[in-house]
Amino acid sequence: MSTPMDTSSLPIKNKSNQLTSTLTTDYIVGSDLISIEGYRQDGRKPNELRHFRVSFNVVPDADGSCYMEHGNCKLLATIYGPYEGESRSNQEQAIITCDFSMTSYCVSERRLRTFGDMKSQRLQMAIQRVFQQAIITETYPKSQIDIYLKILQSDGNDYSPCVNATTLAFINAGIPMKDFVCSSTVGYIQNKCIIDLNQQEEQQKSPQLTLTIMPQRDDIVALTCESRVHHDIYNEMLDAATRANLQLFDLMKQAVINQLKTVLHVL
Amino acid sequence: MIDDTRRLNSFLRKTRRGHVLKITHELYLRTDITCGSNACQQCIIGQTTLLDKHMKNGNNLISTGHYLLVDTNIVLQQVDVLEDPLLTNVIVPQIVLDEVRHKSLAIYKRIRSIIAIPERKFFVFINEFNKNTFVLRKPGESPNDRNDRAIRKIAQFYNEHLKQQISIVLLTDDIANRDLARQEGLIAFSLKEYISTFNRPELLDRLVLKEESFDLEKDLGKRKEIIFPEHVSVSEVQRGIKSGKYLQGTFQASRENYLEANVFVQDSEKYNQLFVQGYRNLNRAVHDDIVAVEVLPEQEWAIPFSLVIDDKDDDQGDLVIEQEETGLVVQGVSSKRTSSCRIVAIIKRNWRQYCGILQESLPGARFHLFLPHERRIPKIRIESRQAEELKNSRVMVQIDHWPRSSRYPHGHFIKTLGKLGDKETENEVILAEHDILHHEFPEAVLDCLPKLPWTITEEDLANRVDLRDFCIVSIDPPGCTDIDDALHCRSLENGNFECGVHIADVTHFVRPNTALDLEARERGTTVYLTDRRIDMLPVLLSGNLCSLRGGEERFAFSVRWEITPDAKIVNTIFHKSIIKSRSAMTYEQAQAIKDDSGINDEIARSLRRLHSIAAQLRQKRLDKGALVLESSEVRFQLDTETHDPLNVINKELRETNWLVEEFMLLANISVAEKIYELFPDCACLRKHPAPPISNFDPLVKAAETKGFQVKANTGKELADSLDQAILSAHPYFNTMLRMLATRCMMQAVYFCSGFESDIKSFEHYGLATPIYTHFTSPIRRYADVLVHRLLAAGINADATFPDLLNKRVLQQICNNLNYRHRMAQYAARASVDLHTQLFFKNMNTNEDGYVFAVRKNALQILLPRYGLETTLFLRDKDGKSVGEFHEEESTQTINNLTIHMFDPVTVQISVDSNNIQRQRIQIHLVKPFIDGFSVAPIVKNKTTIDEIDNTITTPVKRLKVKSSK
Repeated sequence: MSTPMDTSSLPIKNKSNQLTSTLTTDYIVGSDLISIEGYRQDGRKPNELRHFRVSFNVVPDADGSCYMEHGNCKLLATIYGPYEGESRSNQEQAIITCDFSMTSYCVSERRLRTFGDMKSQRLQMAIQRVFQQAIITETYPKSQIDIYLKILQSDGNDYSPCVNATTLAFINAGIPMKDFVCSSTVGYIQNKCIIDLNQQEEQQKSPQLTLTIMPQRDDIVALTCESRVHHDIYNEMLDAATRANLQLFDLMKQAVINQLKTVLHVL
Repeated sequence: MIDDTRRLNSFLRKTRRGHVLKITHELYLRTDITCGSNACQQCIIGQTTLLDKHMKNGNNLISTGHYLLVDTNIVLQQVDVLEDPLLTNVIVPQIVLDEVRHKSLAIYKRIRSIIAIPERKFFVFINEFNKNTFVLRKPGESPNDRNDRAIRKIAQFYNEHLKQQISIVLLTDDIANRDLARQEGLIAFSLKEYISTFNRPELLDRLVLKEESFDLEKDLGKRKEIIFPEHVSVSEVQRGIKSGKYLQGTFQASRENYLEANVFVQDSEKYNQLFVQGYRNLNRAVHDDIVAVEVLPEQEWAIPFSLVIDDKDDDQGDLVIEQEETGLVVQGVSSKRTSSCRIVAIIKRNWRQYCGILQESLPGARFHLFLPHERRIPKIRIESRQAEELKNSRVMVQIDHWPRSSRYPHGHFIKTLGKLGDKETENEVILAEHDILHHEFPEAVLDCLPKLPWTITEEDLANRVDLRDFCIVSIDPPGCTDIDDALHCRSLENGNFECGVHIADVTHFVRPNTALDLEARERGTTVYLTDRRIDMLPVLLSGNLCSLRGGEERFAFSVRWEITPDAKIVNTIFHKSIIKSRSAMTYEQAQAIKDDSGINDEIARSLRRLHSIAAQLRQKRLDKGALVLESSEVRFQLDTETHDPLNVINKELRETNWLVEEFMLLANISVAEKIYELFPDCACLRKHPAPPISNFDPLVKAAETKGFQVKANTGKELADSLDQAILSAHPYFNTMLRMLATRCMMQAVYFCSGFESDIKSFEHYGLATPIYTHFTSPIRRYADVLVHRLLAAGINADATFPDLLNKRVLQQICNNLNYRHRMAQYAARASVDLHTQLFFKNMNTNEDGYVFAVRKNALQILLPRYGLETTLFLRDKDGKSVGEFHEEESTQTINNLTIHMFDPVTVQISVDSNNIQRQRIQIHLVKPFIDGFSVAPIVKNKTTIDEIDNTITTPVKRLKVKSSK
C-alpha cells in the first residue's frame, strides 16, 4: 500500500520515452522521506517529535507569556487579561480574542504582509474557538482575555505550535483551564504514519491530519484533515496523532513542572 | 534515542523567479544506531546484526578477520564485483548510498538488492545521524572531501568501537583518500589490490578499468583512429536546451546501418524525429541514451541510406573513416533529405548489460573486442585474462566509458551464459536481452499461495452467484493449461439469448500488495517462447486453481449479456461466480462439434448460437472499420525429448477461433465502458492510436506498383481499400499488403484514464472501438488483474485498497506493463528465429517466396511457408553491387532483368555455419535465373553448398505476428 487517493496532484505530462521499466525504482525512490532503514531525512524515526524547548515569563509586562521552540519553529505567545472588556452586553463568560502575526523574515521568502491575511485570520478564529472551549470562561464574566501570537521562525504548520504555546502561556498566566490542549500533525507517507511533520515533509502531497486534544480528559477539541484518506488509514493516522499528542503532553507537563520548581526554588 | 545535539544545515537556493532563499534543515544526531556486528557488546540488543563475529574469506592481505568498508566510487563503478558472492561482511555507509542514488538509480537499485540478501551480509551503517560518526564540513572543504572524511571517520569509529577485534578494510580507488587513510593508521586498499589475492581471474575481469588519461596528440600520431568531438558540458547543455539551441531526445540506433540513427525529440514543435548519420555526428551515443542534439543547417542534411551495412570486418578504424568519407557520403539519386542533427552531449546513458561473444583476437592479447547480440549496440572493448576459455561461450558485458580517442566503448566482463550454439544458452540470451524476469519465484511469493487441498468454503459460496448448472465450455489451443476464459449461451423466454463470458478469478488469490502481487506486477505478462513458458503467476495458480479446467469447480468473474437474435445488446451484468466447466475443448474439437449436425446436445446448441451471434458481432465491427491485419503465424512441432524443432505448421484459423475472440472483445469493451463509468479518473484502459497518415506512405507506394489506390484517412477507408486490392493472378498479394499495413500501425498501450484529457484519444484504431481494455486473461496479463480489481470494487464484489484509486501508481504500472509486453513480444519472436535456425541447420532447400521490399543494395524476400523474411544482398564476389536501383519505381535491375516488388522468386535456404559465432540463415537466388548471380537449384541428394560468396549471410527478421488486440 502506498499513498491513498490523492486528487490534488495535477496530471503529469507523459514522458515520451515510456519504454523503460521504472517500476521498482520508483517504488524504492519515489519519495525518500523515510529511508529503507527507517529514518526520516532529519534523522528522526517516524514516531519521534522534533526538538522541544520552552521558556516562560519572557515578556514580564504580560500576564502570561511563553517562548517556544519546536524544531525550527520559534514563536512567542503572550496573554493579556483577564481584564474588564468593553461592556457590550451582560456576558456571563469571558471573551477570548486572538491576534496572530508573523515576522516578515519568518519564512524563507520574505513576506510583505505579516498579518491580517486569509491564513492568519483563519488561524486566529481556530485558536479562539479552541480556547473558548478549554478555558473555564465562566470564572471571568464580563471580561476579556487577549492572546498574542508572533511567529519568529516558521517550520511548516503554524497552527499546532501556536496551540501548544498558548496553552503554556495560559498556564503561565494562571488562568484556569479544563486541561492542557495539545496539538500535532501526522502525515501518511510511504505506508507509514509519521508524526510531527516539518516543513519539508509537509510539502509532500500526501494525506495529513491535525489533531488537537485534551489529553487527560480524552477529548478531541479540533480535528482537521484536508486530504482524502482511505478509512483504513484514517484510523491508523488518528491513533498515531493521539500518541504524538500524548508524547507532547509529557514534554509540556515536564516544562511546567520544571518552571514551577524553579519558581518555588527562588521563593 | 535522539541526542541533545542538533545540527542546523543552512544553505541558499535560488528559486525559479530568481529569488534567493535561505533554507534551514534540522539534523538530529542519535546515539542508538547499531554497528551491526555480532562481535559488539555495546550496541543495543534486538536490532539487526548482520556482520559475522569471525570472518574469513581466504584473503591473505589481512590475516585477521575484517570487515570491508566501501566508498561511493567503488559502488558506482565496481558493483559487478560487489555482486560476487565472495565478498561478504561489507559495511555500506548511508552517505555512500545517498550519493549513489543521486548519481545512478540503476546502480542504486542493484546495490539495494545485494543488501536485501541476508547471506551476503551487507550492512547499511547510518553514519550521518550517528553522533559518533557525524562530521561537519569544514570551511573551504569540498563536499567530496567531506564525504571521504566521513567514510574514514566510520573506519575509525569501528576500530574503536570493536576494540580492534576485527579490522576494518577501507576499499577505495581514490589514491588521495587511500593515502590519507593510511596516514591516519587505517587499512586501505584499492579493490584491485584486494581481489587480486583471490585466485579468481573472472573476478578481475569484472573490474572496471579506470578511465585512462589519454593524450590526444600522442594518440593521433600513433593511430589513425577517429577522434570524436568533445561533449558539451552539462551546464552548457542546460542553457542550450533552454534557449532552443539544443534539443533533447532519445537516441535510437538503426538496426540496419550502424552509422545511422534517429533521435526522437521531446518537447519540440518543429521536429519530432531527427536523423543522425556518420561517426562524428553520432558522437559516442549508444542505443537508448538520452542525448542533446543540435540541428544541422539545412544544406548539411543527410539522406538516409537504403544500404544495409554490417559492422563486421573492419577492426581498424581506417576503413570506416574511408567509407564515411568516400562511400557513404556519396549522395544518392534521391532528393529526400531528412532533417538531421548531430549529437553534442549525452544527457543520460542507458547502458545495460549486453549479451554477446568475444571476437577472436591474437593469442595472449589482453584486450578483446566483444560483439553484442543486439545489432544496435557497438562493439565493446574489454580486458580479459580468460579469452581462451571464453572463446566459444556467450558472455555478458557492461560498458564503462567511451573515451574520445577510441572507436569502441570500453567495458568489462560480467559473466558467461554458457556454450555458444547451445539451445539453453541461446534461450538465456533471449531472456536476458529482453529483460525478462525468469528467476524462480521466491519463498515470499510462494508463501502467498493457498494451501492444498484447496476447498470452497461456505463464505465463498455466499458471495458468488452459483453458475455450476450452466452449460459453460472453454475453447483454447491444444495443450493449453492456463485456461482463463469460458463461455455459455442459453435462450431466454422472450426469445433473446443470454451469453456469458467467465474469466478466471485471479484476484481472489492474488491479493493487492502481497509479495505475489508485486512479483506479478513486475513481470507484467507471461512470456511464451517456442519451447518454454515463463509464467507471470506460480504454476499452482496459472495451471490449476485459476485455470478453468473441464469438470472442476472454479471461481470466475462473469459478464453476462442479454442479446437479441440480431446481436443487439439489451442488458449487461457483471458478477463474481462459481462455475463448473462442462468441457475444455480445443478449437478443432469445438469446430467439429459445431459442424456435425448429428450432434445436438446442449454444448452443440450453445456453440451454434454463440457462433451465429459472434458472426453478426464481427460483421458489425468490420462495418465500423475494424482492420483485418495479416500476419503469418507459424508453430513448430517440437521433439518431445530434445525440444528441437521437427516441422513447421502454419497456424490454422478456424471459425471457433474468432468466435472466442469476438466474445472476448465484447467482454473487454463492456468492462472498459463500465470501469470508465465507475472510475473516470483511474480506469486502466488500452488504446491504439491512429497512426499519422505519413506512416502509410510505404503501403500506398507498394500498392501503386500494382495499380491500386490505398486510402488511409480513416480506419474504414483503409479496411475497404485493402479489401479491394486483390489480384486474382497473385493470391498472396493481398496478404502481403495487409502485412505491410500492420507495420504502419502504432503500438497499442495501456494507460490510466485520468492522464488523458480527451476521451477521443481512448480510441482503439485497430478494433474500431471508442474504448477498450483487457479483462479476459488475468492469468497471463497483469493489466487484466488491475481491471478485475477495479470492476470488483466498483460492483461491491471485493474490498477496496488505497492504491486502487491512485492514478499515479496506476500510470507507473501501465508504463511497466507496456514495456514488459513489448519485450515479451520481441522475445517470442527471437525464440521463433532461434528455432527457425535450428530447423534449417541441416537442411538445404529450395523455397518459393516473394519480393517484399526493394532496398538500395538488397531485396527483402518473404517466405510464406515459414513466415520468414530474409535479406538477399545484391553483391557479387568482391562485394560490388550488381543491381541497379531505381528508387522511384522501387525496382532493381540486374543484367537487364528488372525485379519489382511482390515478384515471385525461388530461393535456396541454408544456414551459414562458417562463422561459428554468429550462425545465420542465408539465401541464394535460384529463380529468376540471373547469370553470375543466381545459383542452380539443389538436387535432392546434394548436400554440399556451393561456395558462392556473392550472397552474403544475413540475419533473419521474423515477420511480426501482431494481432491488433
